[in-house]
Amino acid sequence: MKPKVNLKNKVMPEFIPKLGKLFRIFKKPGESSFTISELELAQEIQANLLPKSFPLSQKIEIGALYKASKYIGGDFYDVIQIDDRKIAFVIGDVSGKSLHAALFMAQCLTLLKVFIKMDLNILKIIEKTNQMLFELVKTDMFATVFIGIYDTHYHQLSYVNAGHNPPLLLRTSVDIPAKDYHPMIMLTAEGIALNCIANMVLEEKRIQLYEGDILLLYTDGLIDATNESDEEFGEAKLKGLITELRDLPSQTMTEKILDYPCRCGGILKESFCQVDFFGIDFGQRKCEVCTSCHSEYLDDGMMKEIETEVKKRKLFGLEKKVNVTKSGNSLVLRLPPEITKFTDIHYKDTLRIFPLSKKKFEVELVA
Amino acid sequence: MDIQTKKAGEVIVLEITGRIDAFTSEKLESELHSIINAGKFKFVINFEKTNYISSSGLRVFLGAHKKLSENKGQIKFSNMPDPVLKVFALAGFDKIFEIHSTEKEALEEFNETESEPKKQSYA
Repeated sequence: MKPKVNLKNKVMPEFIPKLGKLFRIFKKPGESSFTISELELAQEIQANLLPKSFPLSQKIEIGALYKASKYIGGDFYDVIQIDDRKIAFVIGDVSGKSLHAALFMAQCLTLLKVFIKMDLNILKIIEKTNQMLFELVKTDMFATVFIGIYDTHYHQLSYVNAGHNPPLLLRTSVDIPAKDYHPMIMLTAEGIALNCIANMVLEEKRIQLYEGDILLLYTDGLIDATNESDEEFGEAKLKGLITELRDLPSQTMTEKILDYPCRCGGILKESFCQVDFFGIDFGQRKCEVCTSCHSEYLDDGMMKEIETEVKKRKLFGLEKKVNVTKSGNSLVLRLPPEITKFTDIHYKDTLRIFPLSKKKFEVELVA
Repeated sequence: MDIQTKKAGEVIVLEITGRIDAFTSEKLESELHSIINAGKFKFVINFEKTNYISSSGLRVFLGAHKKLSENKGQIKFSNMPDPVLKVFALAGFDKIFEIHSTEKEALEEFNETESEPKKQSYA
């Protein structure tokens, strides 16, 4: 029998394609670390929950795209056929990004789906889910949720919004009664996220839909992503983009929304980048470069390759916190052996120190 | 993110400077927990110098709120800049927490609640 490998002590890198800069491979100070096994389990739970297909309908066209902006996202969505007439759309976001968050998300989505399938009143769906969660989950986690139920016969959409980013409804037809006409409507409603309070106060709203209407449900990851200057992609840009892309099929539209702009508002162009990570040369790789802020974006395949290589070379946890000591008038920085071994720095070597900012400097080994 | 803590009678005031995001919220969480564990249950959080809060930050306050409710404690917020208020309001957290325009007002609210005569119970 093979001995079990203890994965508990290995810290998983956190890939944060914080749109605007490549990604960070090592955890930031103060951030809780996950073990590999926990992460893989959490990812598996999430992957199994997201829908593999949507109900076939001649009345509506559905497109969906999910891309984790963190290593594990807490977002979930689904489209559920209730009966011959009604179709439900669910989207939500669970706070936190641990195994606990993944389990909380599983409980949340499962309960919502059960109550939706039971054809309960839309307010009851949320209220009952919240009640069950509140009894079951004694944690600080919460989930924002939007549910819309579309009656394909009366073309009416009923919805509740439990603290989620309001979906956008874009009207494309001009053949609409004046009272219902507004080019862009945000589906807001009074509500609060799930698992915050025992008795929720919610509002159900109804809206008439017309041929050509486009409904965009999204999570905050889409608009909160910032570029290097901390500028958000924002609601306004999203509204502009959806208007621009309105004539495309829904699936293509979702892909374009996610891929079209850099988060600084610039345009991404396909190019080749030299990928070099912690001394590992991955060579010239296909990437997308922003024409405005020059941020480089790598695709998921490349990220996976880097991750595998970094795992293989046991480079986890190279980031170290050290204390500055004193010797005479100079401050002394001790280099931990893991770093000197990796960087090949030896006693009496010459280093060049270059300040990058008030809080950052670069150390380079001079041959 | 930087946290300045001060005492105003029974109430602990936390002034948070910078961003409360996934990375910094753990520091805030441990700070709050250590104060709660030391037996303090009344807080005013002054957001005047906070420029961003993510859902991780909301989670910290929700956790503290649940913990404090068990101990008859409370968190009140003050001086919220619009972007921070927007995040709180979107998730509906303005329905759980009291949000005051100034720290003084939040502290006074604590004092008023305390000085209110106890209601007679006929149960």
